[in-house]
Amino acid sequence: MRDGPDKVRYRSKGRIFADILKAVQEEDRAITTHILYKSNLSYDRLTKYLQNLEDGGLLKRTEERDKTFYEITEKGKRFLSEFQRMEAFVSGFGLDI
Amino acid sequence: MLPPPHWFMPLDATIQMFTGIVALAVALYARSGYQWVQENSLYRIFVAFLLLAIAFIVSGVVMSFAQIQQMTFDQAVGSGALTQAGFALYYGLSIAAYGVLVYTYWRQLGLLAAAPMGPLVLFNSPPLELVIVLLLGFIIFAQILHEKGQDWKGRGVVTISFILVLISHILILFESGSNDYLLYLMARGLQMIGFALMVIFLYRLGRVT
Repeated sequence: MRDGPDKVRYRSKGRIFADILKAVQEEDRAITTHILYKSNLSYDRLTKYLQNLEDGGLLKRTEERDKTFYEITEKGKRFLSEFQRMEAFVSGFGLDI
Repeated sequence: MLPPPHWFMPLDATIQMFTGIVALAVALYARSGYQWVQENSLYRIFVAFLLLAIAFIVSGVVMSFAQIQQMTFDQAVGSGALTQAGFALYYGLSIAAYGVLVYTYWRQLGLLAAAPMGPLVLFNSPPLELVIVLLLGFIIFAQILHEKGQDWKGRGVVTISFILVLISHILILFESGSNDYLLYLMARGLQMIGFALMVIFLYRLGRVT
């Protein structure tokens, strides 16, 4: 075996999206701090990914009393479900996504 | 050695067609996930199983064509430009498909064992079955090595499936030396069971998620 990609676990974009969506789903309406803590990302990267997810219609952002809340949309739930299904599928082949 | 019975070629064609349809189902399953998740490993599984599906269906069509032309099994595998082209396509696509899977494991698991396989496949041109046996051997090795003791038993099903396909290709290697059609049929049967296990795997996936 060489020192392969598993040494430092690489998180694909799909997995990062799934981690963020899971964090949001846990809280129903999640604030950025909670997502930041759960998704293990830097603030800058999280902001970028949250924007991606919002643009893709997977998350919905609402502003209330100077606070930003995120909610998972139906499309976001579908993505999460597909990701989990594909994670199990690929795992059957001894691979990760 | 007695010639194979009349039912041999239609049965072989049916097995190949069935295997092709299962491979196509796995390919489409991977593609449906790729459309959402956009992961390269899923795309490679899609490509590999699509190539396998085409390979098996081509082989099934060639056997059906030979049957319609009232060729014997030996004539079908030994002569005829169209059947020869069909078998060449079958081997070419199968090697490409298993090669894509080996590449996927190599990319993700980083196994050095895969490195010498590229030139082996491309330049040395050993008997084609032997190449497939080596590629399958690597895939199974990578799967077993990557075991993480997860609760989900789907991985075991896929590994057993690939082991059966590997045994089938080893039997075909022996068959080519002895011209024993029963050995050939047994090999095809094992290959079909191997791919049928994939159907169980997909069914169980539907229940798990």
